[in-house]
Amino acid sequence: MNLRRIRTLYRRDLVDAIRDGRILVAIIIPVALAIFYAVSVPDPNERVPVTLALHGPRSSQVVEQVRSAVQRTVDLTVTPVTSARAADRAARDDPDTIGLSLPADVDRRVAAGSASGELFVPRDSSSGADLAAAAVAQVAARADDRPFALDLDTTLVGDAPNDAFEVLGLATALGIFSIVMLAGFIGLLVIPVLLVEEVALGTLEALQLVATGAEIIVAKLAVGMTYCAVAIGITLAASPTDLHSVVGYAAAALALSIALAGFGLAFGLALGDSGRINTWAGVVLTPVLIPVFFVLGDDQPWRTVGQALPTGAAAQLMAQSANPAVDQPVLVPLLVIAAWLIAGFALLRWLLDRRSA
Amino acid sequence: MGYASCMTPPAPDAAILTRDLRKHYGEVRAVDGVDLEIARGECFGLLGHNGAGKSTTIRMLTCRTDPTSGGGSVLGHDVVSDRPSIRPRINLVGDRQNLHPRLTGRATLRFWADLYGTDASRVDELLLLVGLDPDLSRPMKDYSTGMRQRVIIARSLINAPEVLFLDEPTRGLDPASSRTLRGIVHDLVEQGTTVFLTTHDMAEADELCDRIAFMSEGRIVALGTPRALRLDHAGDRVEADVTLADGSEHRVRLDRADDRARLEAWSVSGDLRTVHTREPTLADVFVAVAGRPLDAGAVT
Repeated sequence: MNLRRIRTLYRRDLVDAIRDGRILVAIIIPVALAIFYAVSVPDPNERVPVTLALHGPRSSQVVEQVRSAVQRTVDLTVTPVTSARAADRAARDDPDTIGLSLPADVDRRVAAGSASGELFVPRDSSSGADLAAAAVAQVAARADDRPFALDLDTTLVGDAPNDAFEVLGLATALGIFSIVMLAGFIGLLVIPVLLVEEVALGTLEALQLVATGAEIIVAKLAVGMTYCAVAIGITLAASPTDLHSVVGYAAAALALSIALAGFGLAFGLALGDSGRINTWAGVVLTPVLIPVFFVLGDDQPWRTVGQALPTGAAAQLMAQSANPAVDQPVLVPLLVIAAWLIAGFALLRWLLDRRSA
Repeated sequence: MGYASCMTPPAPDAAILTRDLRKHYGEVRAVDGVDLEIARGECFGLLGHNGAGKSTTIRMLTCRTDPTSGGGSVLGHDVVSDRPSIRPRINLVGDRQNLHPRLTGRATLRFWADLYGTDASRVDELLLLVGLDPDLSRPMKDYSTGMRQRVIIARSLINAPEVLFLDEPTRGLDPASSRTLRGIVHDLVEQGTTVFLTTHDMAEADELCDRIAFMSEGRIVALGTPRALRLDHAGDRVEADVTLADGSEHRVRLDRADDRARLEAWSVSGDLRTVHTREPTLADVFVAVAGRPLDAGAVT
């Protein structure tokens, strides 16, 4: 294979193909969906950010107990202020902020039973600010040594969630679905359209005078991978998704796209017309995307089915890259994707050999 | 018999050589045992009906499809096993206008120059050669048919090919574009390029080609120089268009005794005003060897 020719073909396709409305739409829709999910779907595991505007010592038992009491639900940021008035003002200005003014020797005073302080809670307080304010009141009550009528100890019970949706949160899971959709569109629609357009225009025959079929296909795969990588980059940059391994996440999507491209090219050659690919890709994508829900759900028989399919395997890898707590396997999905990749390109080779003969 | 074993060593000066070249699609024998030997610097014409096997022959010689049996070589290299040696040294003007529609003419030629790894400075020179403005910034989809064909011709010259295949290059072109193309081909042949031309235009073949082969149903049915073909296959069919003193017009065949007698009688009586002889054309030769006119369509 000649790298100069591949580079030349790649450059032309990269600039030229994006002017094709079908290709542009195939890339924009999944990206827009991923960003929409990330922005609009609340994450049940997400802690609410609350600011505690603190006048008094930064380190005290009172503050540590408040932080401990709210740690599962509130992401508490302690911001020192210079006076009780400043704490008051901070709380007035922001519904996510509460103000607290404590004496400089608060811990000694608490021990002596003579502590006092001021808590400023905005009237339009957010739910997070309410939780933090309640925690401060609870800690103060304990400090005053006034026991609650009912003192509850909280214990987490049952198995840890086996459902990746629950561990990842809906927004991240739907984000994975959107990126799998993107990889599917690239592999089953964009790359085949790039090739079939050349067939329809007759330019493939002209290209074959100077480049080999393998060089032409590698260039088109590279274009597809570039679109995929750029689209993933845009998606992650535009959405507040917190991923454990961005590289693993993107690599899984790219691997899926290549694995599907072999089938996509074979499918494209069989249909022989970019308009028909455009029509049928939507139909083909539906069964291709459903395994994502199988592997992220907790229904074991369906999960097994999903794991055997390339999109399911890629979704497992992406879930693992997003949050290792989902405890998805890595080796088996990699082998599944590799097997589908080999099968796809073997099918393509067989079709090309038949056409050549 | 295997493909390789069918080959005989090519003549040292042969640009194109085929031996018993065949391409079958199931029961259809698109090319059915073609033997050709075309010298370097020769302009060779292959004429025949649609479906006669001309384009399939070109597809095999330009390394785009494998022969079913038999074999061929271009510039001394085997068309199946040594394609990388052939591809950079040949080029093709196909029978359809295969261009990327969103590129401009110049961008198109730059792209192909980069693909061939040739000097991009030739781009403007080639555009001027085919009569196009290098500064034209319109995409190819807005070009006329004639302009697109000129770009295709410029593209086919981007790698300075030693062998140029032209598959019906003037089909659908206006007379001016056809004339430009014929001028370019003439110059290329003078400069030593081997040209392999298929066409339906007998006059074009007669004007450009050193030798012509007629193809019918996958086989070569006649081969020679245009003059030799006329002499061999329609030489005795000389006609004369006659105008008499009363204004009537007649066509007589000089190979027929009764027509010769009529002509002599008109001459003796003084009725003869004008006589224009008409030599046999390649179209006549084609009818003689293929049994039907070139425009009669494909055999089905």
